[in-house]
Amino acid sequence: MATVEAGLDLGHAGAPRPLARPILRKLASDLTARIGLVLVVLFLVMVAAGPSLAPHDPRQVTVERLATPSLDHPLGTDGLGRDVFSRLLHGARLTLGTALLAAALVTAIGLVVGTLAGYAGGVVDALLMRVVDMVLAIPGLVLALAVAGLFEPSLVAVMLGLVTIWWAGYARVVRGLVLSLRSRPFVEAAHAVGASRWRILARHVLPSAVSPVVVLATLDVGQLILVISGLTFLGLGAPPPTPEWGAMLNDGRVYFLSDPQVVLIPGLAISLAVLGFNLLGDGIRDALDPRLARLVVRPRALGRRWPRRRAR
Amino acid sequence: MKRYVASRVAWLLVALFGVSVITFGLGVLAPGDPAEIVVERRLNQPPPRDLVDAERRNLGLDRSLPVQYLNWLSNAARGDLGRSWLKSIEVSDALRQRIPRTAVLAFTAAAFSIVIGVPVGVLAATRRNALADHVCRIGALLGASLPSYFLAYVLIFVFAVRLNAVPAFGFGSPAHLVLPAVTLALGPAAVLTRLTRSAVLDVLDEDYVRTAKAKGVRQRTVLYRHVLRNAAIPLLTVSGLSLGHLLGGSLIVEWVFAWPGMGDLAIGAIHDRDYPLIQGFVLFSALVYVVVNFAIDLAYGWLDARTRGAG
Amino acid sequence: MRIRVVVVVLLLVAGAACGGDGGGGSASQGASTTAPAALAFEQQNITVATPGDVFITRDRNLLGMWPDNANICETLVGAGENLQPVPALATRWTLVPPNTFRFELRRDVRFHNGAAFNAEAVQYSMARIVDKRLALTSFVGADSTKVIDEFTVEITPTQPNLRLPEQISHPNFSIVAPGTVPNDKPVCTGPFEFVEYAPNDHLTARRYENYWGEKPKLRQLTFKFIPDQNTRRLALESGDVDGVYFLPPQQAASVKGRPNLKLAPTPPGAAVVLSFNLHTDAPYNLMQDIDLRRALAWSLDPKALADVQWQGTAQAINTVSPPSVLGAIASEIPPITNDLPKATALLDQKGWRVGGDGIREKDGRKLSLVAPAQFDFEPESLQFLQAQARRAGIDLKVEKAADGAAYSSKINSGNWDVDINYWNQNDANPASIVSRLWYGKNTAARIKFTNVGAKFDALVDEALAAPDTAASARKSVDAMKVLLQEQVGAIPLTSFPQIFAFKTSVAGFTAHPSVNLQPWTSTYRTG
Repeated sequence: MATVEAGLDLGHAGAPRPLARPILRKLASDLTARIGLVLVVLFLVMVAAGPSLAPHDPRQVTVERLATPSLDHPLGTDGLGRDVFSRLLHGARLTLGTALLAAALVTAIGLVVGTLAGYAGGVVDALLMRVVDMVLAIPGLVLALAVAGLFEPSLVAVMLGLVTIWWAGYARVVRGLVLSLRSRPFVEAAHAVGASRWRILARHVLPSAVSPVVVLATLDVGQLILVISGLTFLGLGAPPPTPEWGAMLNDGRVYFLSDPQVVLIPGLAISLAVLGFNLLGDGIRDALDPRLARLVVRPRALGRRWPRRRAR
Repeated sequence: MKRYVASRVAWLLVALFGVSVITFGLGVLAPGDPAEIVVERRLNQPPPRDLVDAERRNLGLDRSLPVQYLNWLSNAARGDLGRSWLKSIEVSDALRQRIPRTAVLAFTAAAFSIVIGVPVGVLAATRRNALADHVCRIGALLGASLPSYFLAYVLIFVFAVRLNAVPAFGFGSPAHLVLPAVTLALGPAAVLTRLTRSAVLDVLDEDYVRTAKAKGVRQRTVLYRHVLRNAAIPLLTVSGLSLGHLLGGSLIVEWVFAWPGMGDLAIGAIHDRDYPLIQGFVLFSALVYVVVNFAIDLAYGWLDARTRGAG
Repeated sequence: MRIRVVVVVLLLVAGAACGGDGGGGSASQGASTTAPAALAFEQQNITVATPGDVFITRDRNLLGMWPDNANICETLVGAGENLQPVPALATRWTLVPPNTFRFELRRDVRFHNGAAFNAEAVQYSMARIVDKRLALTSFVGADSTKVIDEFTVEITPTQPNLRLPEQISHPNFSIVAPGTVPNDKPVCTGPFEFVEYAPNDHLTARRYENYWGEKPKLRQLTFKFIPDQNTRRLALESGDVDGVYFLPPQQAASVKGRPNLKLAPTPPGAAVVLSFNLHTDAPYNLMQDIDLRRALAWSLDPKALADVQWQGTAQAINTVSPPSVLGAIASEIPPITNDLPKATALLDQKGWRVGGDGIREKDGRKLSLVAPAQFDFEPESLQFLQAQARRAGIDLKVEKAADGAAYSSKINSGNWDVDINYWNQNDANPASIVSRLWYGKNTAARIKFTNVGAKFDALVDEALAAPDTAASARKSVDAMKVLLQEQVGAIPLTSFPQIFAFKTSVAGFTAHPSVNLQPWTSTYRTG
């Protein structure tokens, strides 16, 4: 797993150094990464505090349909007279919150499965990796759609569909990490001292594997937001009047020709959120190893192999 | 090389098995009793028990799961994917009718993504850190960040409604293909831009390039001869990924543009909870994806062996 | 160099996007002062976008007939501009007491395949209709149709029903050529004959040259199936279709703003009526409490729905049938809706406390009602109703069905509390809607859950057996009083128009009060 190893910035006895320093250094210098950070922080604030910042009840139907922006309604109102700004604020928790939750879940599942496979080896490893192969053999959105379609429309259904396809790539990455870590001097040293396998796993291997995976998850949040809002746009998410961003875009389509802002505003919100996470993610990736980072492709998308560099 | 091929074949078999199990599993997990649904939709009335039981036997649902799986598999191998619950049409017929249209859209989108992505990537690399580079990179970033359905509506608004340059939706003439193909192409184009840019930058850094430039050989010749070689492997990998994106992305794009292909059928089936159609679609997409990736792997191995040998 | 090109292009695009107004559609902007001439016959083809392929799930018994009527088939009696019965394939009909109608058939009519139209054909068709359970509440049975002579038939419903002539105008009662089955190719007598049907794509019909009546001006009529309402609208905008059906009210404004498009709404004829599940066990037994039904009715404000959501094109109604078919006596029925203070007071009094999320609960049970909605019900109106019910602390869990079959399936299962649907008044029969939705003798599966008891049924019996329309209206209104005031078995909300939109080059179109009976014979193109 050359690429990720290099990103681990191996230090003394092969134990990985923390990643924070190069990342922070990068953020301090690169403008686009900083823009990404600002956007991400903005949206995280929206997720955390959105509902309390909203001036109106997002479900409040009024007679002022499709109003132009005003002091009372900073982004105008939608077809049912509901305040768009309030709906965006409430919806951040739904769209972005689900994405973050999904990222956390796939990280957790990937860590568990990958560590198990990498550490246990043998039949367990072979079996788990074959399952990973099988899941990755089906195009992602297709399977996510099919799985989400098994349930009644809801955000939980969307998240289930998403997690079903996403965990496999992470499991594979974690397994690779664990395999490389297993043979490191610091692990062997712990083993020589008499530490049990579980102890080594819990105290040494797992913590070192966590940070690269968390970084990868951060790189993926943008993609997750796109897939989630895509599925909700298709109607698989919570039914109206839920102010989820993808669903808002879908609801606004009927007004597209007369009042396109009802479509454009949620679309812009989604785009900006994805852009922010992508910019930040690019900055982080560049910070790890600029030359190799160019060739890193996301674990979910990649599946079976990393693009190898030609030996020179 | 032989070992490599053998390992890829092993992967292929595992993947095919997995695809079949997962697709079959989707049908098993689907809510509702298929026998009841089929009979009810046929009669348009709540179905009597005896008819439902008869249909259950007819559909083979009274057998154990492994037997059902084998039956399903042998039927699928012969091209019989069952019947749509809703639309009184064979799943295989429905797919057959729509696959060519999705293929047209996908290939056009792939072509567009190359036509858009590669030149922009080259431009960005040759004007590294200049304004052009930044504009191209931002463009690529936007292409990767904007949701396809949002982009679709923006394009429809500008080009179909305001400028009336192309039709907004539907199927029938090459003009109808433009907007959906462009929308679908922008994601892969963004990836290609990035890839091309880095591949070109790598080449530009090499000593012999600098030497050649110093000697006066045109940059363009050098570029094209060496970039291709350098970029072939990552390009191949990316095309495998792009296929996945095209298969998935076509779902949304076809639906928004009412392009009557496989994706449009699948979305309709999801909304209708028409599971035989959903299963058929998943199976077919996955098969295409697996087979193409297998071919790419083989090509990759061949290329790799060649470059290793030559380099 | 290249970057400059890019910038220029971007500026051009931005300029086009921001500037200009109403750019879509054909080039002709100026209104002509003289009536434009019709195009040549070869160009008289129009394509109309409809909300999805409705034939694909019905075993095709009604291909081209209902609910999208391509004028391929006809019935014995038609429904005119005011839904009054008019002669169609029958020139006259008389009542033979006590319960038989004698129809005199039109002569010199030929089916599309050349066969002669006569009493045998009527009997063949009626037998098919009964067999396929298409007879609705006409109570026409297997032995009801008798051939008297070549051009006379008698139909005797199995129970007293003097509304037969009105009911028989429903496309379900289409007369097909003997020996034919319409499932793949309907062979009938109408002004248009069937050309082709591509499932989920289109249905095409062309002018029938040997039609007995006024021949259509159009050469070809095509229904294009476009399920997504936004795509339908875009198709009209870009000129890919010449007209659309069921334009959502929200898009009426944008059509009015286009010089090359026009609206053609029907008179308000479809009625939005909520029904209740009154006969199931938990957890769908909440609506068995009449007070809860009253409270829900009081929480809804039909006028707001009509004025705001439908922008004044709909009207609030107090009766379950559109007032036009009942006459002046419709005003006898007072509204049972729109009294929010009473709703909250009643719910408070019954011990339903408002919970943290705004929804009332009692003994650990939430006042949450499962409400399936028909697949083509205007979606924003559903949210509007939800918001209204919420004011009283009632959670209306709307479940919009994916299609007609899914909706029927849900209703037939009984796993619901409130049914949200709209009902077309297709004929002049005042008892049409009451007999369809709550009448115990209707064999439809939904009646099992919605029926409101013997008193109502007896009044509907009388409405069906009444000697004339006025008497029938009287009995229907009496039945509605029982239904609405005594039993609160339904909530009428609004009556709304179906909105057609066309290119201005389509002329001669008059929207019929019942979309299911829309004629196309006088429509033609001028450009």
